[in-house]
Amino acid sequence: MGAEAAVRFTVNGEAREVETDPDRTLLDVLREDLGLPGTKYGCGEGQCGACSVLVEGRRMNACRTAVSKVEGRSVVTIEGLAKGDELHPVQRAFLEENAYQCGFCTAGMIVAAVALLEANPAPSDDEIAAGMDRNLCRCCSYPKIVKAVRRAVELTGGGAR
Amino acid sequence: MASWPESPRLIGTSIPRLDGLAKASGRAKYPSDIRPEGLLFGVLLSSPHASAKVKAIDLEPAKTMPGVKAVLALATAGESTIFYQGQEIAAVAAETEEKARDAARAIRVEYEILPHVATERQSAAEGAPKVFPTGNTRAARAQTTGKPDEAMQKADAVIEATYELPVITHVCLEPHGLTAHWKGPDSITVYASTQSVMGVANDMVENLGLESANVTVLTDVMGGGFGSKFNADTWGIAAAKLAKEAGRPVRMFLDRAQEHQLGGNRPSAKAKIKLGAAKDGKLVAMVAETSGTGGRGGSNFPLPYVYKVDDRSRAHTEIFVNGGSARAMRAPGHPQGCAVMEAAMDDLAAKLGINPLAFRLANLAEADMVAGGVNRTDLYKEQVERGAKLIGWDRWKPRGQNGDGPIKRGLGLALHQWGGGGAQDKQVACIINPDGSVELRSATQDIGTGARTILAVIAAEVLGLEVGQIKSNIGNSTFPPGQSSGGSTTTPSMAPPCLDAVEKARDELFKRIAPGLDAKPEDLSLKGGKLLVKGEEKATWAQACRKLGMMPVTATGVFGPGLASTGVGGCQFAEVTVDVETGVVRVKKIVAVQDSGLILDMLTWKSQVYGGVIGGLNYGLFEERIMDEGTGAMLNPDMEMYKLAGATDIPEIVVDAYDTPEMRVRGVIGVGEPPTISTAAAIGNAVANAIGVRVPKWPMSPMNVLDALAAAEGKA
Ligand code: FES
Ligand code: FES
Repeated sequence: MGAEAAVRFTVNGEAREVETDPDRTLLDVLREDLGLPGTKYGCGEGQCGACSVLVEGRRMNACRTAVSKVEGRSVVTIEGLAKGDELHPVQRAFLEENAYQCGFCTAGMIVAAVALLEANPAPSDDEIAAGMDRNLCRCCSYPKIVKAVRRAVELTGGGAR
Repeated sequence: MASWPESPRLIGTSIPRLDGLAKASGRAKYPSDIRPEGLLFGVLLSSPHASAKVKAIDLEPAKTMPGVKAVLALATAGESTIFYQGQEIAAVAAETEEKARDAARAIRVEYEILPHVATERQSAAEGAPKVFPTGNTRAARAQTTGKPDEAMQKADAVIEATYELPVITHVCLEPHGLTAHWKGPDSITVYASTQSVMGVANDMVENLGLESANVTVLTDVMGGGFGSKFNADTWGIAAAKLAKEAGRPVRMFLDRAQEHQLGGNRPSAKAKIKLGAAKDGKLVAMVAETSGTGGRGGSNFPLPYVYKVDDRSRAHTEIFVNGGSARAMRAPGHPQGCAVMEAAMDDLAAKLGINPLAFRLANLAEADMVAGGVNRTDLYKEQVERGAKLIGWDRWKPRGQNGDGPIKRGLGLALHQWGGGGAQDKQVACIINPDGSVELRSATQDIGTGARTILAVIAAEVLGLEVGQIKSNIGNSTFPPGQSSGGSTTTPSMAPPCLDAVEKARDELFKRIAPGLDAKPEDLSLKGGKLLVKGEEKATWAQACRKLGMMPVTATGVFGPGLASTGVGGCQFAEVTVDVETGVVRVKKIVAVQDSGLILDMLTWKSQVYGGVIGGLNYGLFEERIMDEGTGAMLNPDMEMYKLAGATDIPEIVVDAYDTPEMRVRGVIGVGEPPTISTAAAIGNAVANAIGVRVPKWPMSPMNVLDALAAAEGKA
């Protein structure tokens, strides 16, 4: 355990400050200190993508990111994708396609898909599969997940939001 | 006999999940997300050794560390024997997870390290250390029917081969665990990631000496179980004890490595099979010696499987290893039995020079008890015909004729069956409130299959409402007794009492409001959110319910005959390419034909089949628990070296619901397990078809493929 320090960053558009060991994982800080449990622990080793969040719009595994690394940066979690009651198009697509069973991988899948479409607004099927490949789903909902990403491309008209 | 509505409006259509919005928005609260005021973090200290005696445990260093609120020994010094890496030693609760981890590390444990046997090979080897009190192996007597040896003499073609499947683990994405919250000195509420709220409640009652009435187990949603999450487990009970000691709620979940090591696994299987057939393609005899390991647990699997061999013998040997104990895993035993049987069938068909599809159809067992005693012969024929068309079986070519370059293409198939019948002692309560809200209650749970949605579909059907109008309250152990989510039994156990409850509630509603409408109860009906009297619209649903005054209608439904059944089956076809230079197998397409009686929600049903197929693809191509013989440790307790399919590994999958009128009259049967059974078998057969050589060991990894090719070359 290192000494505590103040770490400041933006989460879902809000400025936050946490007094914590700067070596703690972003995942832990989001879930336990900031009351945002939508981001999940799957492996803790950067191998499953359940903990995916956006840092400056890029997808990161929060379980492998020390909170000090996001000092001064902007983090978006699954909870921050919707605008009020209006779901993000990727969320709407997952909902329309029922792209989950247990749903434990879903937050990470949706965040990964948002990052994918941000980088490539009109991906081909192969690009979708490749872009989603680092997120694991043990219920094996992949066919619907890929369909949902395709649907999200339609919803955004091939241009990210 | 009770019956399902005749021309249903909702049943059998594709209905989205009730909890979809919660999942897509990230608002769904999983048991590992629950954070009651004052929550402490539990960490389990587990054994680094695979075989040892615990000589001493010193908890003191942990107790005095900052933020530590309670420490508990789970092993007993001088008494406990460690049988596998990961076995529970102690548990700690602290203010933060880091503090709990630091404290767990500070616990001093003295082990006397004993010799171990980490693999089947090590365990069964001559002169192996005897590490289990009853011996490292236990051989069952051969079970013989007819005269297999005599019959084998008359066979025109005989194959003799050994097939092997590895131990795999469940890898639930949400690890095992629970959050324990005492509500008073003798009363506890537990948020558990479980397939059985009643099972966990019962464990709490038995281990903590509590009264049933004072235990509440809640599972709103949970992150997968696949057969491994029926109980509170040692760590769950530890969480409750730590919470009691600390006077604060405790959350205790395994980490990924522990999840692999002690969260359960599917046993391995090895089968030395001699299978003989006559020239005309009829099986005549089978002699099988099989074995497997489930750690210290059993590893048996059905064999023969699906096919009829009158003269046969089978002897199974349990091999014990220093590895975590097996738990039920999606269709226990069947994927193993299916893979070895179907491999032998395919190899024999190749030897006979017969099309493997025709060979299978000529040897179907007529009335298999596994499949509910139904004669499946004609069913299988139709299903195989449908599957063959969908995969393009007319492209099938014998082994060795599947390409000249390094990339070979192959087709394979396999058949499976499962019970999937339900229990008859479960209940559902239906409450119709004066404000028009409808609630269903039962102590079953939704492990991701859509159980919550399916109950609502039934209620909405009967009451003429929309599915979203029904509140499907499950995942609460204090509700009327519900089914555990296992064995594909949930839907067939819960759907009949649900129908009964809702029909009773509707009838009671009619009885109570009919007089005020100057009508007889039998004149009333419900349709499109309206109350009809003699077929004429008289009130909205809400207006009708308001006539109840202050008193809601409550009814409890029970099982009724005629609504559910048992015994399902299907077949799967796989198309693969294999690069014989690298050994890399790519699955190109899978066709899954599946029956399961009356399908209540086609959407969640198909999700189950997709999930089953891809689970089987993982088993066929990737998964394997790798043990280090030197240390007894699991070498890949993660999600990287323990390989699982990602999006790029997913082929085209065609799911064909065998949803015929004859099937529908059978009533509801479960589907969670059957579609995962035959995938690995079909893939194995497609690989053999592609490269002309049997890969006798699953998974179909580059190493196993290249080994098989090298062995064949060595022989040639
Ligand atoms: S939990 Fe972060 S990648 Fe698995
Ligand atoms: S839906 Fe369960 S892990 Fe993906």
